[in-house]
Amino acid sequence: MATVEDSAHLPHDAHGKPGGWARWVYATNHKDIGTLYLWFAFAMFISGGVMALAIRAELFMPGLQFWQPELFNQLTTLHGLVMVFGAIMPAFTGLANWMLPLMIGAPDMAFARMNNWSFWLLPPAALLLMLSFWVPGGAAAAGWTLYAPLSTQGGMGMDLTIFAIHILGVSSVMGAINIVVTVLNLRAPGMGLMQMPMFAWASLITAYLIIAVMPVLAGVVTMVLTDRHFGTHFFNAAGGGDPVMYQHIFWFFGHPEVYIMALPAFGIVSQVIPTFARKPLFGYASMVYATASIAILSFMVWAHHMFTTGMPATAQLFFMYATMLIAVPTGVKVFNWVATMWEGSMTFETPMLFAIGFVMLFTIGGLSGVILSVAAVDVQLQDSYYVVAHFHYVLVAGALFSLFAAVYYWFPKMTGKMYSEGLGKLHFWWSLLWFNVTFFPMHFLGLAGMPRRIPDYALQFTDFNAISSVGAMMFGLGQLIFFYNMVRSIRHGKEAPQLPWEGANTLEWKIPTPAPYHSFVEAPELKAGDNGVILSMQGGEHH
Amino acid sequence: MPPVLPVLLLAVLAPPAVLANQLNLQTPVTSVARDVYDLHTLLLYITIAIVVAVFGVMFYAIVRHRKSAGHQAKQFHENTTVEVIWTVVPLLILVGMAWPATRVVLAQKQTRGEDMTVKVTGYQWKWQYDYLDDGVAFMSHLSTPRDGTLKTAGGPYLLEVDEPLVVPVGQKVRLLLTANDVIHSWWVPAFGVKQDAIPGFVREAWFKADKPGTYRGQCAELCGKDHGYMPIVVEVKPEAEYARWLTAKKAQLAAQADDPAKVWKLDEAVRRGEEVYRKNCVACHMEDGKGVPGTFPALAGGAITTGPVAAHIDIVLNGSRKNAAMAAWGKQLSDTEIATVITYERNAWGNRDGKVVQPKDIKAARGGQA
Amino acid sequence: MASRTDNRILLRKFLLIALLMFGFAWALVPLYRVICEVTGINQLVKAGDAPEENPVAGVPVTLDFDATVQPGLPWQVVPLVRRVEGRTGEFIRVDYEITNRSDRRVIGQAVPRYLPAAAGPHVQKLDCFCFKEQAFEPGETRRFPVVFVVDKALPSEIGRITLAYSVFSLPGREP
Repeated sequence: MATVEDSAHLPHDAHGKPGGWARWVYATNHKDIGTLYLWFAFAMFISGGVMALAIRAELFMPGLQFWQPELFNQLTTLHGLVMVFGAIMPAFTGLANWMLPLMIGAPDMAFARMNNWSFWLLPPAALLLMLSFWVPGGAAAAGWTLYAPLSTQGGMGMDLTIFAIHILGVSSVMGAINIVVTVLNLRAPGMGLMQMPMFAWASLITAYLIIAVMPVLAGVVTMVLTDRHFGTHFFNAAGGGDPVMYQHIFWFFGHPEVYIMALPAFGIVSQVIPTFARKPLFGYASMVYATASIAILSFMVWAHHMFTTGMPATAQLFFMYATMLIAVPTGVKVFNWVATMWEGSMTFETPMLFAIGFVMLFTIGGLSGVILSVAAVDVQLQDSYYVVAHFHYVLVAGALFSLFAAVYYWFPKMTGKMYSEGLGKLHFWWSLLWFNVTFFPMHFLGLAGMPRRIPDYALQFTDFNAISSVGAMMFGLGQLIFFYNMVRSIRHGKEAPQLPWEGANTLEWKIPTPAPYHSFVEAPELKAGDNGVILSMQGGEHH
Repeated sequence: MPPVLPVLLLAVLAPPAVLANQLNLQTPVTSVARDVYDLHTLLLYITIAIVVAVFGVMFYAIVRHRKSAGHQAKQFHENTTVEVIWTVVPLLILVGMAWPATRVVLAQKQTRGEDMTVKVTGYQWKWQYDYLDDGVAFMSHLSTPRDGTLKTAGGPYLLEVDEPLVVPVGQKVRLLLTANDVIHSWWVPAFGVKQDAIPGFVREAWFKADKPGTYRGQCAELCGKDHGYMPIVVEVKPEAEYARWLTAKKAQLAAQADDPAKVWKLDEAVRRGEEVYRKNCVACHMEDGKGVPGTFPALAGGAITTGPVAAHIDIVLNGSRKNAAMAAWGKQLSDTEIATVITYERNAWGNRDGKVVQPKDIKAARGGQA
Repeated sequence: MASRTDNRILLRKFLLIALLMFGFAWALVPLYRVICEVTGINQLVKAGDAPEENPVAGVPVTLDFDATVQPGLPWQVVPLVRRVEGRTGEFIRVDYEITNRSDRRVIGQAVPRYLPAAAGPHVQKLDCFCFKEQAFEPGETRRFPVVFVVDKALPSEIGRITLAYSVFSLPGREP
C-alpha cells in the first residue's frame, strides 16, 4: 500500500523503509509482509474465483458448452487447491503478521528474515500450480484431495502440483513457527496468555495445527510421487499397498486443516463483535478452552470423510460420536457471540455486518455438518452436492466473510484511511444475497442425488444448477465492489481518526493510526483484561 | 435454515416446472433408505428448531439492543449457570440424535441372510455385474450418445445404460464390490446404498427393494475423465419376470460367445469392430477418431493405426508403456473383440489398411508378448 | 520479553516437531498395517500359524469363495465350489483352479480378503496357494487346495464368511 510510503523522516537505521521494489522483495517488516500476504491471497482468491465461475458456467445447463470433462476436472481440482492453500491460509497468515505484534505489544515477528522467506515461497508455488494447466495432459485432475490411485494416473501436472504443495507446506510451517514464537516470547509485560485477544489465541492454536499436520500432507503426497515415479507401492494393492491408507493419512491432515481455516475466523469475530456491541466478549475463558478442544478433537474425527469406504460398524460409530462431540465446543462459541450481542449497544458498520453474517451462515454450515456426521445419513450424502453446499457454508460464509470483516475492521489501522461505508454495506448485502442463491440450492441437489465433480448432469437437476450458476456469477461480480472500495479508499479515502470504532479497546487501537512503520520498538507496560482489553498502557515507543 | 430466500427466487425466476424439483431425498424403496429418510427428517427438524431458537435470540438483540434504539450496553461477561446449560443441553440433543442413528448404522451393515449375490466391478468408466450364483456376467455402459445434443437412447439423459442390473423384487441382494483401476463408488439413492469399490479389495453392501421399478444412480467417487458418465441402473422385476429375464440372458450370452476359430471378412469385421469401439474406446479417442490433443492420441491417421499391425495389437492388448491412460484391454476383451476393433481402427476415418486382423492373430500375440 | 536465544531454541524445537510429523506420516504406513492386521480390517498378506483341528466341532458357519484377477495378469482363477457349510473348529478344504491363459511364463500372487473383515483373524490357513508367489508355464492349469480352520473364537454374530482372493501379477517379476 504505497500511500504510507515516505521514508524521509524515518531514522536511518538498517531497518529503515527502503523504496521501490526492494522494499517488498527484501521485506522484513511485519506490516509489509502482512500486506504482501493479503494482496497475494486476494490475487489467488480472484484466480480461484475465476475457476469457480468457469465451473458454474459449464453447469449452468445440461450438455457440455465450454469445457471437456478432463479440463472440468482440472478446474475443480485447482479451484480447491488454490482457494485452500493460496487464498484462505495466506490471508489468515497475513492478518496475523499485520495485527499480532500490534495486539500483543511486540516490535515485529520473532524471525523477520524467515518471515520474508515464508512469503516469497508462495508466488513460485502458485506459479507452478497455474502453469500446470499448460503442460501436456493439463493440470492435476484428481480433486483437491488427490486420492490415490487416481492421482497416480495423469501427466506431469500432478507432479507440479505435488511440488507446489511441498513448497506451500514449507512456507506455511515457517509462517506458523513465527506466529507461535512471537505469541509465546514477544508479548509485552502485562499481556499474559489469559489476557490475549482471541485473535491471538486462535492464531496460536492454528499455528500449532499447521506445524502438526502440514508435514503429514507433505509426506503423503511424497508417497504419491514415489508411487508414480520410483516404483513404490504405498497405494497400489498389487504391490501390497492399500488405496484406503491414502485417505486415512490425507484426512489425518485434512480434518485439522478444516480448523486451520476456521479457528482464525473465530478469533476475528471474537474481536469484531465486542467492539460493535460495546461490551466485553462473553465467556472469554470458555472461548479459549473451546478453541483448544476443537483443535484437539479435530485429530480424532478424520475418518468421517470415509464413511463409504467400507469400514466396520464399530469404527463408523466411533467416528460418528467423536464428530458429533465437536458440535459442543462450537455451539459454546456461537452462544458466546450471541450473548456478547445481548444487552449490548450495537451499531452495524461493515465489519459487524460481516461478523453477524459469519455467525449465521457458519452455524448453518455447522448444523449441516452435524447432519453429515451421522454415518447412516452420510452414506446418502457423501460426495454429493450436499457436501459441496456444507463446506462452502463453512469456508465462504465462514472463512471468507470473517476475512472481509477483518479487512474492513483493520483497514483504517493499516492504511490511515477510511473505506467507503456505503460501498462496504453494498458489498455485504450483495455477497450475503448471492452467496445464498449460489449455495443453498446445492443442498437440494445433493439430497436429490447429484454427485459432485461432474461436468454434466441429468435433466432433473437443471433448475437448481441454473439458479446456482446465476448466483455464483453475481457473487463474483460483487467482489469487484470490494476491490474498487479498497483501491479507491487507499488512494483517496478520508483520513481515519485515531479511534475509528468507538468500542475498540485492544492494544492495536492504542497506537497512532495508521500504525507507525516501527511500532513498539520499546515494549510498553500493560495492564490488560480479558480478550486483550487494555486497561492502561505506559511507555511503548514507535517511529 | 432460511430457505425462504432461494425458494422465493425460485418462484420468481423459474418456470412452473420448478415445482417438480426434488427438495428432499429420493423416495426410498428399501427399509434402509426409509430409515435414512426418516432419520434425516428428524435431524432436519432438530436443526431448524436450533436455528430458530438461537437466531431468534440474536435477531431480538439486533432489533432491541442497538445503539440507534438508545440501548445502553450492560457490561456483564460471564454467567456460569448459563454456560453450563448451553454445554449440557447440546450434549443431550446429540445423544438424542446418536441413539436412532446407531440403530440405522447397524442395519446398513447387516449383510447376512441374502438371497443372491452380485459382484460389482468398477472400471474406468463402466460397471461389470457378475451374478455369482448363476454364472451370468456383463458390462453396463452409459447408453446416452455423447454427441453434444441432449438426445437420449430412450431413457433419461445420462442416467440410462445398455445393460441394467436386473434383480428380483423383495429379495435380499448382497453386493460384493471391487474395482479394476481406481476407486469408484456404487450409489443408488433410492436404495440408500453407497459403497466405494476399491481396486484390489472387496467390500460388501446389500439392498432389498420392496417395489418393482427402475432405479437410477451414479458413480459417486471421482474416477477420472468420465466420472460423470458411468450411471447405475437397477431394474427390479417381479420374481417370475426375473426368472424369464435370467433364462433369456443366459441364452443370449451363450449365443454371443464368438467362435474363436472363425475367419472374418473385412466388412463384417469392421461392423463388429465398430460396436466394440463404441463401447470401449470412444470415450477417449472420440467418435471421429481424432482423440483429445495432448491427452488421448488421434487414431485417424495416427502412427499406431497406420503403422505395423504388431505394434497396434501390442498396445491394445497390453496398454501403453508411456501413457497410463491407455489400459491393457487383453483381459477385458475377447480375441474376437480385439481383432475386430483393430480391424475397424485400421479401416475407419480415412485409414485404408484393407487387411483383416483375425482372432487367431490375437491369440498368437497373447502368447508371443514379453 | 524473551531474548534472541530463547527464540532460536523454540524455532529449533518446532522445526524438529515439523520434521517428526513428516516422519510420522511415513510411520503411519507400518502402523496402518499393524492396526489392520490386529483388527482384521483390510487384510494384507498374512500366512497362518499351524492350528490344530478341534475334535469337538463348533457352531455352523457358511463360507463363500470368490477370486478377482487384477489387471495385467492373464490368469483365470475359479473356486471349484462357491459355498461350503462348515463348522468352526473343523478342517475345511476347497480347491481353486488357476489357468494361465497366455503363452508365456507368468508369476502371480494371491492375497486373501475376508468379508466381514473382522472374520479375518479367525481364519487360520494350513495350506494356501497365497502363501507364496506362483509361477505358471504357458497354458498351464493347476489346482490348489486351500485348507483352513475357522477358530471357535469367531464372534457369534458372524455366521458367514466370504473368502475372496485378489490375484496380482508381481510387477517386475515377469521373467
